[in-house]
Amino acid sequence: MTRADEDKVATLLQQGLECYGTGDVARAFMLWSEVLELDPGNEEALDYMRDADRRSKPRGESRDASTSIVEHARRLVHLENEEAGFELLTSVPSNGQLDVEAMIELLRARLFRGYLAELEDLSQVPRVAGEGGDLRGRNLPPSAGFLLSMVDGMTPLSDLVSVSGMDRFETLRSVHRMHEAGILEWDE
Amino acid sequence: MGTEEISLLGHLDAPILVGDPEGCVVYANPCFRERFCPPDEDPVGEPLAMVFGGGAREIVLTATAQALQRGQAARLQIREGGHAYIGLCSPIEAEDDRVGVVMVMLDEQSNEEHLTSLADELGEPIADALKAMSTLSEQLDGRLNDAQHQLMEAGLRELETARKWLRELSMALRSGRAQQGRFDVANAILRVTERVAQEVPASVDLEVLMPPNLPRASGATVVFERILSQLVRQRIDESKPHQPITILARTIGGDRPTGVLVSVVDVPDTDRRGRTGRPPEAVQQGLAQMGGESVCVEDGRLGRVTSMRLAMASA
Repeated sequence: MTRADEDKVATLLQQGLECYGTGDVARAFMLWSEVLELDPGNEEALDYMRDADRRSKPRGESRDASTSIVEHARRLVHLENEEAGFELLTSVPSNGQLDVEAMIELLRARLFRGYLAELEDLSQVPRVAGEGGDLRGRNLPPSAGFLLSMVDGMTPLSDLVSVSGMDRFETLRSVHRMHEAGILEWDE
Repeated sequence: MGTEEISLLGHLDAPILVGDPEGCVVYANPCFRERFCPPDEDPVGEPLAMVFGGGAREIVLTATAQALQRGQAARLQIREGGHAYIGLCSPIEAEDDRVGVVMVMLDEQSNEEHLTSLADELGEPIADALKAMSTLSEQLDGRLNDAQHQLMEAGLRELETARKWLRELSMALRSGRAQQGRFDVANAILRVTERVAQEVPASVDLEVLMPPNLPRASGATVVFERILSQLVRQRIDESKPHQPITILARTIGGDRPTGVLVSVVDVPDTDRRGRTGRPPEAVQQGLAQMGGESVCVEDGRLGRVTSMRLAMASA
């Protein structure tokens, strides 16, 4: 991650906290989600997301909390930020609420279509960008690290998806996020 | 009455029992012994109260007492060893006296299945009637006088009530024989997708997203495949042209999985879609039968999802 990206991450984290402080949870999630675009697996952003909705709700109101979280997610979707909506829903335990799980599926279907459109026919051959030297500092999630271990600059995305043994949504999402974060690149 | 006289009963595939006026067993045919008695245990001479256990004991004793006192056959319904029986307890009369009772049990399962399938059949016309009346109500909105409006409201309300009680009936019928089976959800999804893909035009885009290692779910694969097929076909009928149908599956419950979630996502066409807010009746009933539940969530930008939670099969 470049120095400029690090500064931007710090700014976004701070702005997210400020929004959260004023009660604008949806926008806070949007900003923290942008952090994850730049730095997938950023622990600070993930912690904020995990704790945010829980802290804002009184105890013993899990049903209301789940309703509220779905509403926040809808708001993010209508701000055209499906990624942030997805992060919000998956960062907070659903407590078995089926409507939360259903909303996650709605977003997974939409995001998957988006990734497919972006990655076109999956014939691109990804490679690790630059020297790949600062990957350890990225806090990559295990699934991303696993995928990255298979990137050899010769295997096309379609084969990566097949051999990864992961849910295709998870695979394409990891690829998308690592591409957005400048970790993976290919000839456009 | 000697055993020779009733030995033909030994060839019947229905449990038959003969009792004396004191309430003791004087004959039990092999079918009865097989289903109601522990192996190698002779019930002859035993009190009826010892042969039957649980709630069946009181029912059998009451039926025996009624048959002997009134001289008329008494009906009974019992459960034993996972089977449901309907029985008839008839008095045995010799000259002017009642010298015992004969009890014939018939397996009730076929009747139960018949009732269950009837309940399933009823669900569809009730849902159709409800949909038709709702549409009519919307179309006539403002043109009905007060009395007509009240009649319409009452009709809709009663149909909703009928649907509720039908669901209760299905649950009650099925609660007696819980589905103990387990099935491979991933295989079931693939089979349904393959079948449906062969029926629909090639332009219909069916996408499946699921991990390769889904755990097994509790229930019957036949029931689940029927539910999923119905749901996918209905969603294809109601969806906007050229919009994909996505079938998703995953485990839910995090580190301690509690179930398998199977969802169908579509983008409904305003002119072709049914009522919103609830999964189709057949889906709700089928899921209830398997100990699962379903929900339908919509979003103006994202479309519609119908999610079904299946219970994890016990190890």
